[in-house]
Amino acid sequence: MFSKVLFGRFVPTNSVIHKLDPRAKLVLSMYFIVIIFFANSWQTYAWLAAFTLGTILLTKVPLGFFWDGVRPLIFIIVLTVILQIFFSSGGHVYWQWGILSITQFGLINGAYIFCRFVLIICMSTVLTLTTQPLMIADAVESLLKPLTKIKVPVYELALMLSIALRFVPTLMDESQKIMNAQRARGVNFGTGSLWKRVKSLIPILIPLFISAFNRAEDLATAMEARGYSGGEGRTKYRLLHWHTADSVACFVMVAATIILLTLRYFT
Amino acid sequence: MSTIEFNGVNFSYQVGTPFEVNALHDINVRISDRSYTAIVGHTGSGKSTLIQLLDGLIRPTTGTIKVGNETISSTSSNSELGKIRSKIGFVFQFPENQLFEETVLKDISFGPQNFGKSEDEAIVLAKEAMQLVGLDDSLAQRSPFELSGGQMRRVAIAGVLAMKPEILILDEPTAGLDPRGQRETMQLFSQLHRKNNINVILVTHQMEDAAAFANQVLVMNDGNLVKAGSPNEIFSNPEGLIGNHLTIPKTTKVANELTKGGFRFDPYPLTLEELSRQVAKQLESGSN
Amino acid sequence: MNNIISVQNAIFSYPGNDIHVLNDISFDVSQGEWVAIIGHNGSGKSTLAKAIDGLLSLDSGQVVVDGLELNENTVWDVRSKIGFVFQNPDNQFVGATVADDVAFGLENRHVDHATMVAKVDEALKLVRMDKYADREPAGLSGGQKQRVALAGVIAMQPKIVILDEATSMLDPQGRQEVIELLHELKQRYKFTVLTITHDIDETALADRLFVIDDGSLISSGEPEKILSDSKMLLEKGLDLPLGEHIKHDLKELKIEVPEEYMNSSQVVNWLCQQLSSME
Repeated sequence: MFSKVLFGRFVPTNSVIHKLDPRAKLVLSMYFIVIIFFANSWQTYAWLAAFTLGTILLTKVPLGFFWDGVRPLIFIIVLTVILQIFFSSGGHVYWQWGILSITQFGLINGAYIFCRFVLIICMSTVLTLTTQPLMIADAVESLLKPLTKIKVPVYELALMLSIALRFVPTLMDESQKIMNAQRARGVNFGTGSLWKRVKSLIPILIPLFISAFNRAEDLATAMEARGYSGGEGRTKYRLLHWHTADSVACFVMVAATIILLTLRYFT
Repeated sequence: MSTIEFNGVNFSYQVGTPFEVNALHDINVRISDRSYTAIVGHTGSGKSTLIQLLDGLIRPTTGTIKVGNETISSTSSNSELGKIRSKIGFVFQFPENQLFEETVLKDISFGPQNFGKSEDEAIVLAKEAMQLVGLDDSLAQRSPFELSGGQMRRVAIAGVLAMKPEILILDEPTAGLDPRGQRETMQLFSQLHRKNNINVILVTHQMEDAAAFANQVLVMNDGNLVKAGSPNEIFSNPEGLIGNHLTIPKTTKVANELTKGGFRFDPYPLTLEELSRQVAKQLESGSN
Repeated sequence: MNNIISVQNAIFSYPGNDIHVLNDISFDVSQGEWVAIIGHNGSGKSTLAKAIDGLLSLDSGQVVVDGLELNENTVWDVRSKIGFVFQNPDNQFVGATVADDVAFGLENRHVDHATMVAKVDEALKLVRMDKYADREPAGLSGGQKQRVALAGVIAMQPKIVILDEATSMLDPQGRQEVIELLHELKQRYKFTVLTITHDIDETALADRLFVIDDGSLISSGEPEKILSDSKMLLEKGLDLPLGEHIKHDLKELKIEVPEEYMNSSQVVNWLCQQLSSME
């Protein structure tokens, strides 16, 4: 499903990771993706992999969901790894044909790239599996708050994001209904030439756009009736709370970084 | 011939995942040709799934559905399903949401063209359909989006009728219409059933409509077909309706109260008009 | 009694269209009254409701709500006195969860966090949706969504509640729930109610009934008076209430029936008396 591709699927297992402040999770997972690029050896990758696995286990989410996160990207990963293997040079040459070669460094680089990809995907999947999209939106709003000083409409953007998230399932439903209605009128999706397939989307897209505009108009009226006159001065029902656990998580991440750097520079 | 037979039909959503939901259990029913069948049941009882299966929009997990000479099963190909759909018209809930063409006429002729009619043939069919639903010729070249809600509904219905279906599935066709619109719409379908011999399948929450128009009623509850019978059998038994989370038609309520007060009804009245007729008769015969 | 809503000579037409959607409508509604507005689709009922809330501006005429004349300067104050429930349950659900949606209006009015949490809680309990506070709208039925919308209204403690065909997209069960709930809340908070509806049986609950046709108020009065005028109701494309429907049919069959309004059980009683008196 579309929403699944966009936001992953939230799995409520109520683990320690689930309970962390979304700001902590967002910043820390971004931070982790950055430090992955400091890894340069078997030891460093092994350490990061162990750390990631530990985090995954802490989420209590079945491992299958993480595999679901990797699977859609497997083609890109494999392609990148293959290019890396064939086009990098150095070390012992095992095989060569024109500009293509398999070398010792090529294989090592390929393996590293592979690890890097999997680690990045797994860690961002940890974020989406343990945090509701809405909470991520809240975190983004909270983190971007300083930008209001330079007249960036952060509140409005956050409200837009939250409304967009709220309407994803509604519009998915709607498109399913419209698709069924047009199939009942003889439209055949996914068969025939490319042109025919593109053309068969028109009877879906036009009604979907019209309905989305109608909904938007209704929603705007309803918001106005409920006193919405812009983001200024609005109070917030949903507050984020920074707990000790969040500070601990940050501390753990710093410690992990120190171990990583030690492994990189002193072994 | 468009007899419909459900044989041991089961349907589950998201088969083989942890999210698997069994939406229909072992449905067996026969809907004879040229009948008017009402399917009633509370929201989520499986009515919608049942009619989507019938139109080949989804495939049964197990079991078969026979529509005339065609059969739908878990292994039916898209082209087989397409063939079945060409015989069935499906008026979805709020069907005006499916309009998309620049003109009313183009939108109505969209279905017939998809099922292999030439543009000229389709336009002839579209014009017939417009007349059938009571849309004035002058609207043919207008954009459907300029019309009133009630007119848009008619355009959408005409778009289904133009395909000359043998079977017409109606999913809450009067939802959102005002009382006059509701009456006119239900009369239109009743007429199509009687004059054009169309096999009508009506999904509705309006027990009054089911009682007044159908000659067979199917009661759904939690994915099961719990009862099938004539409107007489179904609606003369209010306890059975309440047990399946359905409302009792107003006529039934009044008839039962009148029975307690000494009136006798035979046959059991399914419309207020019929009830009044029998009441009047008893009052007159008493005074003579 | 005080007039809480007063509409004088309201005229409105959509831009680029000469037809008057509201054609010189005037009426008053007193504090605490329940008024039902009926009329066929496109008669101008919804336009009227929106005009009272300042959601569209009249071409001419005057709207006064709780002593405030509606204009550009007062529109937000007027809206703060009115709670509005619209027809489509999905299109008025702003929040990502049930609780968020109830809080939306409070956030707009700058209510502080502690008060807000308490009010959201209380409102959700009143509509019996407190167990669903963290649910997303996608998993709710239409009736539940409308109950959440009512909670959003109640949390603001408005003086007037307007329901614009709020039950027309619901199944019978959802419809019943919302109507019963509205009744309960009205008794508790004594607010003024304006309902726009097609459900003729629902209108019998009102203190007064307005019939709108082609942008004009063609009839107004107690439900008993309006609902017994079967000729007018049928002419205007409306339904007859159950009791009157039976009377109307019997009259067609040359049975003499009482002139005054009767609900269905009164009709049943009357008929049973007639039958027993003949024996």
